[in-house]
Amino acid sequence: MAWFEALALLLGMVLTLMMLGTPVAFAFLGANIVGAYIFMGGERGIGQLINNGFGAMTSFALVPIPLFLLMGELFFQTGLAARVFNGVDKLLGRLPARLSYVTVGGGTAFATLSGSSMGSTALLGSLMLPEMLKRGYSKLMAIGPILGTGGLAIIIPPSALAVLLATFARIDVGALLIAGVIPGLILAGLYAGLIFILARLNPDSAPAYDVVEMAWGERIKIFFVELMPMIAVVVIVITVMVSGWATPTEAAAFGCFGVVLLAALYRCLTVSAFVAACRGALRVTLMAFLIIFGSATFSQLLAFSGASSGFIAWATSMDAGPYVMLAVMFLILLLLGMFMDQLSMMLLTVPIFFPLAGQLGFDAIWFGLIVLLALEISFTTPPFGLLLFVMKGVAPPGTTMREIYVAGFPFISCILVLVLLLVAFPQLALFLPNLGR
Amino acid sequence: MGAIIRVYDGIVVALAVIAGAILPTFMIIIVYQVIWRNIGFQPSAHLFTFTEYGLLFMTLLGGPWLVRERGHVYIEIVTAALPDGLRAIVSRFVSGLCVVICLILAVKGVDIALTNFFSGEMDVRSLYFPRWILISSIPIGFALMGVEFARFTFGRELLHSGEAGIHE
Repeated sequence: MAWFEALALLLGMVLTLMMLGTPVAFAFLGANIVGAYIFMGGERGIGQLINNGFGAMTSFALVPIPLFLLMGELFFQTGLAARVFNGVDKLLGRLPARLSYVTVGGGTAFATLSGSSMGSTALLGSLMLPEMLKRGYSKLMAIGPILGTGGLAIIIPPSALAVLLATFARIDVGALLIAGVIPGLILAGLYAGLIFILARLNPDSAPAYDVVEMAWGERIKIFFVELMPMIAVVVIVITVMVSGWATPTEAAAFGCFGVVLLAALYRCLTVSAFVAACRGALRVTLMAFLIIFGSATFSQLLAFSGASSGFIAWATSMDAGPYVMLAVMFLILLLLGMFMDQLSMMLLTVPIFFPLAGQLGFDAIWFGLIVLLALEISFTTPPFGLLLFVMKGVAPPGTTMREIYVAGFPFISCILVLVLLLVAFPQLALFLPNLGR
Repeated sequence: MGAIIRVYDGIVVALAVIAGAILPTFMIIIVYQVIWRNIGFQPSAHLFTFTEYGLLFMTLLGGPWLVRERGHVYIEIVTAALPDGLRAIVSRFVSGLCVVICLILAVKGVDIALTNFFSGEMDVRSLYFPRWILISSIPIGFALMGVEFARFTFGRELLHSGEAGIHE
């Protein structure tokens, strides 16, 4: 079978099953069974699929995923995350478009702490959106920042999705996590800049209003009590990884333990919150891990059938420059993101894109971050971006999908600006990982 | 029949509770290892191995519960566009397909576990551990997942909601 026929067969099976509504993990497993039968020696191939799944599942590199998810869920369920958000709210004082900044500031902190884009969007949507609309904010200024900061959770560590990408692509987990710190902060800055410009161009879209002035002493107290301890946990998690003192797994375990201690100190660690956190983290972990069960075989099939090497040889023979190829890969990710979830996109593209990126001379960590940004955009891309639906679910009745799309667009553009910045200055992503190497 | 179903449901939930308990156990084990190491002791290398095994057991023991909860990520484009009757047919067909996938993996899993058992094959990490015990979790997990999908295939409830989008 020619490489393009094998590629069409494998991708075609997965896509058809997924579009029919087959759970993603089982779409991959189904395609793997057929593929293993054809390309890996019949029934023995299916045995190989199980042995691969066993090998993939019992890998210590996967441990940070449930731990980061548990850490985020604990933040969310114990109410610690809401304290951070309220703290940012109180600190900002009177400012035009104040609530939009609060959303970006509090949302960035919350997304960082929780590591969950959906949780972050749901919380910000239900907490901030009614308040902003009540204060006369336009939907653009109210919904846009929520969608924007919701997606930040993917690149700022601790990010479970970054760990997954690093695992699939077999790159340094810690390095990819750390690489997202500076770009994540730049993106939050771009959002703030965008809000400033939008508020200047149309002051009525985010009217200023009076808030109770607080003494500096009180502000300092809020900072140290409501913000510092929670942010310290994340800073410590990142620092121990950058310095090489701890592996990502150890950092994740200590981050988790830190949250448990904080929740106990703040007297919000209840049994029900702990159980809810475990349940939430378990759901996402199981969903992701069953997909991982089939991941090793899928990339093996692409390799055995000659599909990945054939595609890479074909792509590199086209004599297009590396940045043209990068743009094509980015576009493919955006296109897939319109209809697909992030895990499926990773599983389909990583076995082909990462070797190709290597051939083109790109740094794997830098390229990983570009892929994560594409995944972040796909979260908010019509028609099936997950965050759009979460937003619709929490937005006031009468909010149309079109309004949500339009509000998200300027903020998606900020991510594209960040991608261009990373292409022009790769050190923005590589500076911190290189410190630890 | 009702009693059997209740016992079965209880087993699926109990397995999910075990899977859920593994999560905080990871945290405790790793924190203990790091602290122990840093105060000058050598933590047991077996903890590392058991953490790896824990990932496998957690996934396969919790898998059936996740199917029941409709917790897997899936895309509704086709099913959302179909009229109710046809959607039910497609939804049951998809669930049936998942039953077949689970069945194939369960049967092959039993085959491998038996082969490992009779050949006395060991999983070699920090310790020698009978491989068949580890592999057995795969047929058990997929068999129970198959039963859960079969409930969507033949039961009253459908896997799909009919609302367009990506569900998880």
